[in-house]
Amino acid sequence: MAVSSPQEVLKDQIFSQPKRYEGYHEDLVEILQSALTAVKALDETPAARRARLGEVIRAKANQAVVRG
Amino acid sequence: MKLQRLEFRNFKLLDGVVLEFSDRHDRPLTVIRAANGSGKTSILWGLTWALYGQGALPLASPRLGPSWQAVGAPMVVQVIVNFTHEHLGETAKYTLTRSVEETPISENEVEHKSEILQLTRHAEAGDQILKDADIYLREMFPIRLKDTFLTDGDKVQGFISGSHDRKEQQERVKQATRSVLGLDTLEAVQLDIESVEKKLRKELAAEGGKELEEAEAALAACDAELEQLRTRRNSVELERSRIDDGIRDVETELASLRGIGDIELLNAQLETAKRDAGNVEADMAGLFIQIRGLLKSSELFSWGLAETRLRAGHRVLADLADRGVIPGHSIGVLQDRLELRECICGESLADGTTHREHVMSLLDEQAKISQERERLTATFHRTRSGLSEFDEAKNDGRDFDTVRKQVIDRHVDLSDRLSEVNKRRIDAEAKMEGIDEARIQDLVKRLAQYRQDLLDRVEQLGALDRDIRAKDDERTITEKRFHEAQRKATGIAKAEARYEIATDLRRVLDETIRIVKSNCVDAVSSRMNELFMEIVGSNPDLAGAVFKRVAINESSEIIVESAEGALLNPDFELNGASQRALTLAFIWALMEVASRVAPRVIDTPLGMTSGGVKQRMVNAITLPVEEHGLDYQIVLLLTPAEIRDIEDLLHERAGKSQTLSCSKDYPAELKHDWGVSRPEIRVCRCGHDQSCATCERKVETGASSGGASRD
Repeated sequence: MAVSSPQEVLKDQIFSQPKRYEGYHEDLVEILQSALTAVKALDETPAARRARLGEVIRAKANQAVVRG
Repeated sequence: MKLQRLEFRNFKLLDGVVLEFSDRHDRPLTVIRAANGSGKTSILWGLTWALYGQGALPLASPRLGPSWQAVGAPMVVQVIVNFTHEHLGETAKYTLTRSVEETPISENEVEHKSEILQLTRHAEAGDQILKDADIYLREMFPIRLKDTFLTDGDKVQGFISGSHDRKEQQERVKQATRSVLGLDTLEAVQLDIESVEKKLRKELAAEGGKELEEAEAALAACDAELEQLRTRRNSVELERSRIDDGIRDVETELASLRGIGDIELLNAQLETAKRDAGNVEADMAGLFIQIRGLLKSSELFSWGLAETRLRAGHRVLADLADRGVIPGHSIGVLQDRLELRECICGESLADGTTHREHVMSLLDEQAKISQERERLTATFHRTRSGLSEFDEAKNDGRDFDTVRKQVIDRHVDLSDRLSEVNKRRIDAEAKMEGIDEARIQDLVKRLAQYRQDLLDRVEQLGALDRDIRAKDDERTITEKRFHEAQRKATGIAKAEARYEIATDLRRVLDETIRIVKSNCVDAVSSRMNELFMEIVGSNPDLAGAVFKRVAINESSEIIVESAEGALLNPDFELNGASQRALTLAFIWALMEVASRVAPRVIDTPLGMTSGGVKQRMVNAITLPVEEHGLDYQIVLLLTPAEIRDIEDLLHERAGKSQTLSCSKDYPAELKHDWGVSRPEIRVCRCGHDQSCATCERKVETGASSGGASRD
């Protein structure tokens, strides 16, 4: 009776796009989960949270994440 | 989150009370038995205060300490909650302590110093006092879910019906659903990612040359304008919604005022009633004249009254006439015989004869009684003709008795008409008094203004929708321009990768939110329907079913459909037990679908519910975790009356049971005197079918008799 949790839906969304996200499915899942955790933790201002999220994305891109 | 222990210090009459809660999977239920006035509601208040602070309590500045606390004497009130909470896959133990110094300043008022909140996480490495305990608590126990976690059974219907207006109910259901399903969190992340995406797009443009930069600036301008338009649209939509509410309120009030009646119509009704009353009164006066006339016309009246005796007398006279006693012819015969001097027997009646003297004496005697005969004869004739006339009148329905009956009937009829007409007059006058013509005029004016405002907002919305469509089209073209410029640009691979990661994340999130909203609401709706039908014992497929389904519609309203397909108003068309069942079904469905491990504490969940519904309700909400499929905890605060008939089920499901008693119940209900000078509440570990020196009552009103006694 329980439906998929938002995290599970997120995962399904990412893994159901094999072509587009090929090579960085796990990275996307990780980034989104950390974004969710950050929002839940309530220990940062939105601006600080967004700045950190930007940095995480930059770091992933710098690791030569290649899209499919 | 699961409750483990709850301790009260100076809270209400619960000082020193410690409750323990079951967290067993096979017995997720904790039963707290307490008669009315023995602290059930105080426990719910205490827990609410500990978790959410004073703002969550129903009163502005409630007395938290005991009622006997003297004016001017400060006292520290404290509630300590021990619980476990799972966060990011790890379960930790916590202790929450909320305290406040309270001073009664009068009989009914208290003063509070600032509340002190402390949240400690217990770990193997040592205890950690968490800073910003409020922030942690808000995350663990969202305020929007207060009524879902901690429910007052007597007000349980209010969650979806009763005192809240339609909009408030919708908002409650919507917010509870959003909060439990985590939509707030998802949308916060969505905003974060959108913001990062825009920033990275700008950085990409800055690296891609003038053309890309211009396209990005145009795109950003489009986005900003679209955001403004959408914000404006939302605000106009909100205004329209408020105007709709206003129109509904005014129309409701007008309908209620006009329900009394239209003033002109009432005036006409009043005039008619007065005229009718005048007519009936005139008819009545005419009738009285007729009655007087009837009494005065003594003939028929007398005949009517004396009919029986008159007929008897007439029969006697007729007999006399038949026998020739009346009218009487003997005087003439005797005189003839004396003149002829010969008797009818042939004897001589000459002068001086004895026979003549005898006849002369007979003549004297007859002369004496002839006057009586004349009167009798006259009476005979009069009676005969009178009775003949009376019979004729009777045959024609003109006799006194018939006329009297007619007059009485007419009088009754006129009296009825008069009272009906007077009632109409009084009603019309009362309604006239009830009409506030000035208020009606004011409302009519406001309604006209609202309608004009509504028209205005509808036009604005139409214009905004057109602007948004146009801007969307412009954005599509601008985006195309941006992508073309992006393709032409060189040396921007890294920036492109960054931007595209953000775009991908945003797309995933957009779709996730759409899916969560749609799937989860559908799942809650469907599970709620299943549970509700199970509890009320209704099968829509069977003949005689009362309900077809319950559901949450797209406006977040809980709807109830009858077997015939009519929509039922939960406020007025569901009985109390069904309202309780519906609310519990909604809360349970929400928790199940969200897989949220949370305590569900319900004060007097069953109320007056009885029979099969009671059994099925308790069965549905206390299933072992294995059968239920989800981890949860349920705490029921039950009166002895609620426990009645479900003892076996509670025995099977309860992992922990306690009983609360209040000293004020001695000697009326409690068997033993605790020897205390002030009222206090005590807890004992007696289950719902046990008793001890603390809780033993004179009349066991709930638990089955023969329960074990323990100390």
